[in-house]
Amino acid sequence: MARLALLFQIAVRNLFASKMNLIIGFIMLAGTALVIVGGALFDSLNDSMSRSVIGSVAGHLQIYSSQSKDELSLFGDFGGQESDLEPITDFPAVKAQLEELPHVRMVVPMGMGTAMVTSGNIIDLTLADLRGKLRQQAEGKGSPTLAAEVDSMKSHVREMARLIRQDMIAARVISTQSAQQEQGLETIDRVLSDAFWADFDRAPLEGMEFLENKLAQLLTDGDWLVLRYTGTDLDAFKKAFDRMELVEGTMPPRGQRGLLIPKFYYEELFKVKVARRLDLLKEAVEVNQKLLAEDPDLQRRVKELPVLTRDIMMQLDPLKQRTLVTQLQQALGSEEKDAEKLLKQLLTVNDQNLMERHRLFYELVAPKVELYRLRVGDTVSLQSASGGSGYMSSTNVKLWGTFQFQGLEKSPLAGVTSLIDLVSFQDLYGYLTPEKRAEIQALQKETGAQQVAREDAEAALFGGGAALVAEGESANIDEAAELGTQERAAPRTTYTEEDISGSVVLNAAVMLDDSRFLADSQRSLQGLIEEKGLQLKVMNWQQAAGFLGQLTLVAKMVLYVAVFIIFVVAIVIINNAMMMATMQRVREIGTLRAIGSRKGFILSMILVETAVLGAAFGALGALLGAGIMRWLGQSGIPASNEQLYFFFSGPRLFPALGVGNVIAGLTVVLVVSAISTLYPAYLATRVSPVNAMQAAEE
Amino acid sequence: MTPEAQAQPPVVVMILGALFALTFFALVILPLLYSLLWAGPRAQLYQVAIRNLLQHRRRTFLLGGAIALVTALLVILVGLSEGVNQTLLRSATTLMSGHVNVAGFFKLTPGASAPLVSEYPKVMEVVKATLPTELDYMVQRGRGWAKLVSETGALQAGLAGVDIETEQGFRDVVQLREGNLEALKEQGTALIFADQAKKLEVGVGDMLTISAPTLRGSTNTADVRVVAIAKDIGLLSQFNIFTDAGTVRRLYQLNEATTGALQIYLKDISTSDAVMEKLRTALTGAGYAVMDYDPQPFFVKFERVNREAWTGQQLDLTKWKDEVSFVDWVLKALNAVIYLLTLILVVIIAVGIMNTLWIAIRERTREIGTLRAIGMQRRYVMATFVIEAFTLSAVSTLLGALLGWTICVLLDAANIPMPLSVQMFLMSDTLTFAVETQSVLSSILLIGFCTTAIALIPSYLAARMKPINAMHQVG
Repeated sequence: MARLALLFQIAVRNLFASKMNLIIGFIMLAGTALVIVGGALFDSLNDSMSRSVIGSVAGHLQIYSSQSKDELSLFGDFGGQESDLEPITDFPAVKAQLEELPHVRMVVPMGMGTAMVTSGNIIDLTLADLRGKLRQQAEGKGSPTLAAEVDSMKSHVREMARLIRQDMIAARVISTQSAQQEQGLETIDRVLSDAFWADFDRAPLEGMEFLENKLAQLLTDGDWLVLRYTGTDLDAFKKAFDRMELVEGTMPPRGQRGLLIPKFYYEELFKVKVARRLDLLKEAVEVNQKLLAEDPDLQRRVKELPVLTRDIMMQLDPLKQRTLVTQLQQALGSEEKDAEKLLKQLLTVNDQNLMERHRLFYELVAPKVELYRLRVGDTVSLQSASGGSGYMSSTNVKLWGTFQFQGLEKSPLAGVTSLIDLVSFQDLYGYLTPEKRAEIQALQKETGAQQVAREDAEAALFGGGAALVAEGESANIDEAAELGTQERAAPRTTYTEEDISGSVVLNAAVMLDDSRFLADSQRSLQGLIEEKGLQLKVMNWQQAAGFLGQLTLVAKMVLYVAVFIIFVVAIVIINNAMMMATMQRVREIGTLRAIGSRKGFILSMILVETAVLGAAFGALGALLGAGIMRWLGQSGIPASNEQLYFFFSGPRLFPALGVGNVIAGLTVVLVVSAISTLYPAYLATRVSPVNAMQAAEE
Repeated sequence: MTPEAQAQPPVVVMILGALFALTFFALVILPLLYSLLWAGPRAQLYQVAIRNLLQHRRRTFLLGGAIALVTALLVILVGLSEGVNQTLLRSATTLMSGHVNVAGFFKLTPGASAPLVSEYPKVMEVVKATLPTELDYMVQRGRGWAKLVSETGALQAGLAGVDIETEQGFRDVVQLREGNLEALKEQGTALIFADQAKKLEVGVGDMLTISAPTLRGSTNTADVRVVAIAKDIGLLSQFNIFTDAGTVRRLYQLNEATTGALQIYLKDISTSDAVMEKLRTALTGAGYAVMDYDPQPFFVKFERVNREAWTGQQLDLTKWKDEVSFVDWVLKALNAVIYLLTLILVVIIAVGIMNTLWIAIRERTREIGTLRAIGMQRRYVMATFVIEAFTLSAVSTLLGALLGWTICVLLDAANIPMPLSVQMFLMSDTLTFAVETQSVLSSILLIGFCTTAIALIPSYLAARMKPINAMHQVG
């Protein structure tokens, strides 16, 4: 004990005796701080990402059928391909068994897929509007203003027809001639004729039907959007993922078909582009404190803005145009008489006028147009080729509202997957109920499987185009009756609890009471599967996150490898420095040996010295690291781009320092100092008293 | 590999390299020439430096080893980054892009665009006339995005309709597992990649159904026969299949004179910037509407193009890198890690060098004092130490680079298969390294410069010592 105290005394005395120790100490200090800060940041990131993944899609654990061809990957694979899963056999029984397990709070059925949906087209919006006005007239609410509006809209429709005709002639440059096109031209010529409009005034509803069914489909205006969806028991989902909140609309009532679209995706893809771009510019300037003039990407967007006026102009009938011109002339102080040119002026923005222009746009332009090409309450036709059959299946679903996850409002990753009820999911998956199977067999006798599938898909598409924004109850049903093929047996719009529980389920999220039980629960679940011989596989959220989960694993690997390399080099350098330091003390060591110190004492002396050095500077490094983490924990690291919102589980990451990180940092630095001092200490023991004292004399 | 294919060394490295070269010239070559030609005895400076290094063998070995290790590491990491880059180049220019592309959009209506080039033979004429010497060859490819359906599976992929007879590069790069490339001449045929064949469970001779939504709002299908299965080309080949040009045209109801893109392959890929500008001028001159340069793949441009008011044809010129810019982040992340790691390691090494020189100076203080007293000038004292550090770092970096190079070549030859999670980042199923002379040189220059530069500080301080103090100092 006394010897240790002596060694310690020597070590402390020597600590500041040499400049070299300072240099070595500096490396150790920086190393400790690096390990602590890096480790803590990484743990915090992992933690926040787990909250994002668990809270928005995965739950703590995921189960799926062990018969599946692919592994479950909730975000799709690298190319956005959905994983090919087999349905879980007898899900209700599985669910009941799982919910018996300790710590399991809920089991939520799921199924992922992608569908195509058109973003809606402008002629549909105009026609829907016109139909509304006509109905008001029919109900006897007519007035001179209303009549003027109707007239203005009629001439608007006629103008559109003229534009479509131009487009169709232009199309001849690239496409082969077809009978379909000729028919289209006939339709347009009829709409352009005065006779049609004379008839229209006599029987407006018949005229409307012609326009909606024949004219609207000719305007190939809507983009095909890819809508990624999770089919689920919506109420259970809402309960399990409690960060979910509705932004607009309501939850679909129990037992009704329904679609909920993430607010982010809704804004990004269904909002009129000009408005969305303006919002994003405002956000970049306001929230991210950027300057339009300095950011090249924003510059590009600013330049593009005035070019994108078409969506607005298409929606303005002559009456609205006139009002807008007067208003804009006043607001911009301009003499310009052309609405489009005025609009372009309005949209020519810079850092000074952006806020003002944004306000003007929403005050003057927005009320005159439909800002979203798909409105809450509209019925959407989804086409999907996911699932077993590979052929297109389709279903019509009402959009009940938009939702977001708290803290992940701006994250594209959390905001891309829509939610759909299980029964609609089953239709899209192409799962064959016994009735459907019988129906298809009958059809196969008539023609041939492939032929039918194709007809089916096209019929569904035509039905979809017009049904999209038209008033659900009127246009939709007429068309279904007219086009027939798809909906021989009219699809049920409501269904029972049995339908929900009996539906096809591809995977299920298992929510636990707390993340702490994750590893335990995964084991007990695995145990249950083996014991009961269930054909299931279990994954934790990280494995189920597929590519994203891999991302953190790879990043972790890179971090560890980098830290390892850094310390290998540091060991060499410290070793070198220690060696030189020892060599400088050859005389001292020689003297010590001469007065009777044993080799063991010398060895301990050097080792204790380094340990004290390591401990002292390691502690300083830990303090520095803790200081940095404290500062970061308070100010937070801003998510500089939208993708980071998901990883940060919010707009800022507030990293926390764990005790484990500090211990890891100190351990690493002590190990490093111990390793790097072994060789010099060994050299020191080999110093023979005589040689040492002679060497010093030279 | 042509110069463009290499990751351009970042500006910092170039500047540091140039500085290093200058320092090298000023500190080593000039004094050396000077000492050899005019001041023979001063050549001893070098002898002194080498003698000192050899005298402290252990110290020299450890420090040199650390420098060599870091250099080797840098060479390996840069080799990895270039490996990814080259896999990307190979995949991109085989699967989805020429060195330069003349593609574009055709809009029936302002709101609906298709990735088409109408009347492409005329555009080809302009390209040929503009690039009489630069052009190696040019192909046309139909573009599409469709779902492939087999008896048992389905997947989404980009479609490329090819005239196989004109596809010289494609024929060279694509390695067939099974089947016959020539059969792609026939109508209704397809080439798919090994990974896709596995997913779809099809072999040569099996039928696939391609279904694609068209602009007209309907879904068209075409049945094709798999005539060839090729070895995967990096990760990107998962998302591409090839059919005969006719199939894509039938699928989208296009006429003979319409295609998706003209892919231009140059004799020298490094001229692609210049070629693109030349083509822009020529095509504009020939009366074509050419879109502003937008370095992004064509499929992300729909959103913008659909919102612009024009109709008809506009051409869009891009380079190969633009078409794969969506995977650029992998390279960026990898490079960021390399720079950060190198920075930290260089700092550690610099501390080591400073430390060693401090010791050396302390050990030789009396010697310095004596030398100064008998008339040696300060700059020669400084030169002694700088030259010592320089010699050490020059030899170490060279050896380290050699080591790194060897490791790269060996690892590359070993074709080590990677787990799926890593494949996504490397764009390849095996570990691929590509070592470029240029990047090895920049590594040597970077490490060499930093280590020599840091030696200036202690050397300068040593040279400032007054002879009288130095001589009195006890070692």
